[in-house]
Amino acid sequence: MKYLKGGRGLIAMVVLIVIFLVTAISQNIWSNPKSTVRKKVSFIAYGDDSERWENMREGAGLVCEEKEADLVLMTTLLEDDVNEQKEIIEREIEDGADALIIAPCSNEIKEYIDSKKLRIPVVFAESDGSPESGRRCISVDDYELGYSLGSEIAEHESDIVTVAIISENADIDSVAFREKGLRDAIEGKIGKLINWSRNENEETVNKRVFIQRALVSEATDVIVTFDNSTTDALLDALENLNQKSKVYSISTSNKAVYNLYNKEIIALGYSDEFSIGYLSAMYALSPSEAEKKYPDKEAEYRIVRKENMYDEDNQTLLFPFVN
Amino acid sequence: MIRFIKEEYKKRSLQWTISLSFTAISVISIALMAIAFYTRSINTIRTNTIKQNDQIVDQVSWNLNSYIRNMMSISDTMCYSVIKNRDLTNESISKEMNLLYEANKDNLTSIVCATEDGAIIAASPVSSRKSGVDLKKQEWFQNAFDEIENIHFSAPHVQNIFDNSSYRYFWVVSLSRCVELTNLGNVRNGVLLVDMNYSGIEQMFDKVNDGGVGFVYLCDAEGDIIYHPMQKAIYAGLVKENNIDHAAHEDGAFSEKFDGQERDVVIKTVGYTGWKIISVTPLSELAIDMGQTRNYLLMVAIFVLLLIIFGNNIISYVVTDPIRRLEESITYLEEGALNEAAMNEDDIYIGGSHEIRHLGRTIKSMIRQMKKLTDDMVREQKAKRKSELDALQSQINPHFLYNTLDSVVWMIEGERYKDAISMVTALAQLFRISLSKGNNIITIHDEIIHARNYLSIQKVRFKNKFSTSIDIDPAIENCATIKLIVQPLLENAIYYGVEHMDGEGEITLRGYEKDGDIYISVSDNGMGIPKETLDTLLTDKARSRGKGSGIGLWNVNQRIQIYFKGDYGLIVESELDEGTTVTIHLPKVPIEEYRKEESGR
Repeated sequence: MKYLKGGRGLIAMVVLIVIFLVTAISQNIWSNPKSTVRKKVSFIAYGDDSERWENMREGAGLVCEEKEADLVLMTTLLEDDVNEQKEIIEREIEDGADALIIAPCSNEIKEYIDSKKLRIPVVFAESDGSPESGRRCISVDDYELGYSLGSEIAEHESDIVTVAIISENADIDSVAFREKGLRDAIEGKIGKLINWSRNENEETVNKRVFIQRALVSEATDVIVTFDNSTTDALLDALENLNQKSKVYSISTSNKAVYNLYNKEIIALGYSDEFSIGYLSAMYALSPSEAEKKYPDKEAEYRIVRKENMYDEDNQTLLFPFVN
Repeated sequence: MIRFIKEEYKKRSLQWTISLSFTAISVISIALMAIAFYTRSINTIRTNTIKQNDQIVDQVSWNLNSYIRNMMSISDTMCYSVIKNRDLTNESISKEMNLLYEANKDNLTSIVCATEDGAIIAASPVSSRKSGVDLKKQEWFQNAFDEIENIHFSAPHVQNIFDNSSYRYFWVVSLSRCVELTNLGNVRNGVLLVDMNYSGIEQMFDKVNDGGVGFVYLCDAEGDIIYHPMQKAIYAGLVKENNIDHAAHEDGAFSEKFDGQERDVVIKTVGYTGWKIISVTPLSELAIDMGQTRNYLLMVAIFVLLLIIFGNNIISYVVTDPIRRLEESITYLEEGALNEAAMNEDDIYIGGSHEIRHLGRTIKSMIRQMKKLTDDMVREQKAKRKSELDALQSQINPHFLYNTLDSVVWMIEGERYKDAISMVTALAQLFRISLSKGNNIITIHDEIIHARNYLSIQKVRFKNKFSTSIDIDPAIENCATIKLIVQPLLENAIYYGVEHMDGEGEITLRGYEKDGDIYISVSDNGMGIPKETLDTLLTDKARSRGKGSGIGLWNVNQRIQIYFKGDYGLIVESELDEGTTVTIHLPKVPIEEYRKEESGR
């Protein structure tokens, strides 16, 4: 290599070739781009009814597919089992989840996540949170949803009507906000407001049984529920008792939609869970893109009655395509 | 900037210049080629993608057409073979309807025949009707009476006729038409509804959209989306689609910019329904392929460039090395090797291409000639110097002879024959030494004898007007000196120092060694030399115009410097009214050594 002035040229050539190879490897040009490692997004929800999360999963799944990530849905057996949800979170982190979407069964889960100081993105779905909290929460405006439903009661029911509120799953902040919104909306506009909540002896009682007992023990004109499982339990209880009542509900279950047309539900507060899932996954996988595209990150909700449930806009929300 | 580049260019070596120039040209060429190839590849990728999408759209269109025709044939069968001309008062159409439904139930949700009042005559599958449902208010029902001869296709909607206790709901595309219902011979209008299972269309498009780049969607003539892979997200307002514009667009391929994205679009209208199958390929999805191509080209270009740089280096070295070596040998000459005896013209490099070999040979020949010329010049210089010396010496001889004969004449005139004889004898001895067998270099001993003779002659002439003393270190007597250099100094001491003195003059001749050199001084106690004269004594201008030949001190100094060079020569010191001392400074070289060196040359 005397041509290259005493080896300096050779060193330069070797350096250049090394740079070339490093660049080639870093650019991954020789490999199939589709063989890149896919990210894993864990969607951790609560309750044993996985269909309950189907819309949300589908929304998140669409983003994951677009971003070439895998979505895993994990649910707890019980709706309010905080420890189980924590265990699932732990397991998913250990299994190398690249992002977490959590529908927390209690506020305790949020504090638990805060304490872990995770380096992966965590998005709380169907959960309210102020920007100051530092948590990324995607949901509808639950207070407004509850308030709108309350306004519906105030508008369509007489001012002497008795309204019973079933306070279940109050640990879930979305439920708590909905209830607060509703109470604010009907305050002073109805005859009587009664609260059906469990006492200490009823902690372990089945939800449907607890509601049946309440239905039997206390007469009411209107019953209000704020979540899927309570609404379904109420509908089952009414059917079991062969009792008729006016139900105002916030739910996304098929049973609630079915009963909106056919039976007791007068008005249904329905949140766009597909959007919640979609936005959650977008914020989990590509926060900057999500911030840019969807700066106003709240999902939509509607108050639907039998008369308008088949309207073009409402039917796409109430009857999601089943792929 | 250009000037700076030019200056920098001039400073660099030929190899560097060739290598850099070739590399620069290579970089530009490769970059242009890569850009051209990349542009071509991108266009090819886009063209191929559009072609491919066009084929996909054709295929989907064909499948969808088949599907729709199948549905329409069900409707036609029901309409023309079952319902028409059948008196529904006595005959039922349920059996045929059920058969048709059973045969096509994978693609059908239901078949319904209703009167213009909205009463259901027959339906398959048999199911309980939802309470409170008014068919007349449903869109498909109203459409059927808009243009009664046509079959109408609705947008996808949830079927809202029959109850389903399992909470299931069905998305359907309703195909409705006006039919003639006969009751007791009376004909009146009714509606035949064939609800196509939406999932059939969905599956058809899902298959197409599974993998590959871009997506295909379906909308009706008004732009209402029938199928879209992001349908729910579009309904939720999370994703936008340019469906209204696409519906208004003619069939064919075109590019558009929508929602900040460049997209290639292919549109094809499905016959009869007016639905549009639209293939959309965002360039960002092609960018993966484009990025691959770009990276590949970039890497290949870098690799080729490395090879070219390497090749350029070798080629420029091979081309310029003979020139460099030739230049080195010339530089060696420039540094003075030309004058070295060891320098050989064979040291000039001859190699490389025939042009450079020719150049080397030419330079070699030129150097040979230069060397010859230089030798000639040196020889000429030596000859010139010798002839000059000879001339100088020849200037002395008549000078001295003139003075001496002048003295002899003066003595004879004064009848001092004895003194004249003595002087002539001394003169003869003087000439003997002066001749010295032709040698210009003699011993100091002989030179001093010569000086003694000269002084004895002058003392006679000047009637012993001055006294002399001679003190020569015997150690230097055998050393070499140029002959006849002391005598002119004595002459000056006499004529300019002591001749015009009122008292007795004194001339002292001393010879001694100091610091390895020889010094011979002639001192007088005469009037001395003014400083301005002293400063110009040894210059050419100082050549005397007075007594004698006028070649005294300058001559002697020149001769010493020509022979011995360096710092040797004369030193003149004088004080007014005190006297003058002129000292000869010579190297100490024994006469044998000098002669040995002289014979070696």
